[in-house]
Amino acid sequence: MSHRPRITKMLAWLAAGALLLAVFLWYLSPHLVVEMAGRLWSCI
Amino acid sequence: MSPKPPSSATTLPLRQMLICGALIVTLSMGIRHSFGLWLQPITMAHGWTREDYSVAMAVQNLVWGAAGPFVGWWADRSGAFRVLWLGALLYALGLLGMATTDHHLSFVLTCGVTIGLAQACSTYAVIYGVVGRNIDASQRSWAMGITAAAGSFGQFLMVPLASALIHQLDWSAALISLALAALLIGPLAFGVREARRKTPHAPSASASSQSSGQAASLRDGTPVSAGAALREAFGHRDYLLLTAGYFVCGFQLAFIGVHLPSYLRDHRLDPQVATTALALIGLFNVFGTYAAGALGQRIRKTWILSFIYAMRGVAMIAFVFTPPTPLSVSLFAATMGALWLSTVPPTNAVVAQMLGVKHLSMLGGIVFFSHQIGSFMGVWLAGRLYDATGSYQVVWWIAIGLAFAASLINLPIREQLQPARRLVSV
Repeated sequence: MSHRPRITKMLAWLAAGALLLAVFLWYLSPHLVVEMAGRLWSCI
Repeated sequence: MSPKPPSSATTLPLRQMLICGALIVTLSMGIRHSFGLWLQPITMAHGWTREDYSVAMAVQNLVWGAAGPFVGWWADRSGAFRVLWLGALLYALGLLGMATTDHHLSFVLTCGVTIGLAQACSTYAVIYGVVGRNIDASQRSWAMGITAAAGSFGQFLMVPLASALIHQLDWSAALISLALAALLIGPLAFGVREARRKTPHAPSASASSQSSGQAASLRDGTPVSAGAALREAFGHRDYLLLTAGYFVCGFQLAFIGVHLPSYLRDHRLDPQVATTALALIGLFNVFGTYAAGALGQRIRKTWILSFIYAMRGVAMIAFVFTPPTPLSVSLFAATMGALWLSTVPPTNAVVAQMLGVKHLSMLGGIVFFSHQIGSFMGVWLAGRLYDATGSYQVVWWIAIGLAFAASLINLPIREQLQPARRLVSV
């Protein structure tokens, strides 16, 4: 019984980590990098 | 730091409040963070200059800060629920206005004033009032860290999402879809709806003694007017020092956030380096914000703030003194990211600890106003000094000097008042 909250917590941390990694990889996708770089540069 | 079960003094279920509060801040901070991506399409569509767009954004930031104390007062008085609903409606209205208007004045009124008000109604100060009143001091900093990390995640997520929306739809349809997303703040507000109380909530005795470090004052629990709370806050040296420190936070973040791409371009770095830097700032911001909140339960929060400001100074010195390369930019971005919004949980937790939670949204709103004035100064002064000197060198030095000044002024701050002076309940 006492292991259940720990496992739930670990799964929550893993899910959060996977979500952050997925968003970070999204930033690095070639299409988005080029488009966002263009927009960032145009903001100057 | 791990979540603990809700205390018996908690009036809202802990998970419900944190999840709904976190989602609200994710939406409001995330949408706001993506506005830079609309500069190019909107100015091109209407034939406006970048200054036209920038004026609306500057107005938005100042309205956000200036409205904060008033909105906070209302939230403290009537509860966050109505304030959040108003925020959702104003946010949607402002975004629809951005999408449809082609007059500059109405753009300033919608994008600037309306969305600025919406942000004041739906961001940290309002949610922190709920968190402060419903979680005892032993968990408060951690809970504020969770909420602030959600805002950091919103910023991190919304930039590529908004970029993809603009690409897939068009810029105006993308704004309308964000307006629909902003409306979700309303239903989420049910999760942070507080029951009306006639007397201010007082946490458990153990929490109270942990909060003040000593026995609670005889006057704890006594209803105190907003005016009395304001008089106490402005007569309190440590509150003023904290407010001054937050000005520095706003100055540095706005300067780096707005002018870093330009600085990198001056050093002939590839445009993609700026995108990677943005991603790293966003990623490490989430970790740093959560860590600062969680550490605030174990270490003096003013020491954490002092450390954050000092480390920002060290990171800026290391960055400015070495020729920027893709590697050094990435290291700087990761470091600054970890220190980015990490000031938010400890600053607000210190306000709660110092002056109580009854007027937390209003008093936190005042501190945040100082942050926004700093943001305005960071963007404006950097541009002006760049035009005057042809480089950002002077601004970097100002930002570095301010970092160490903020580090020093946070050190003597006492996190609790002496009982005899304590007018506002914990």
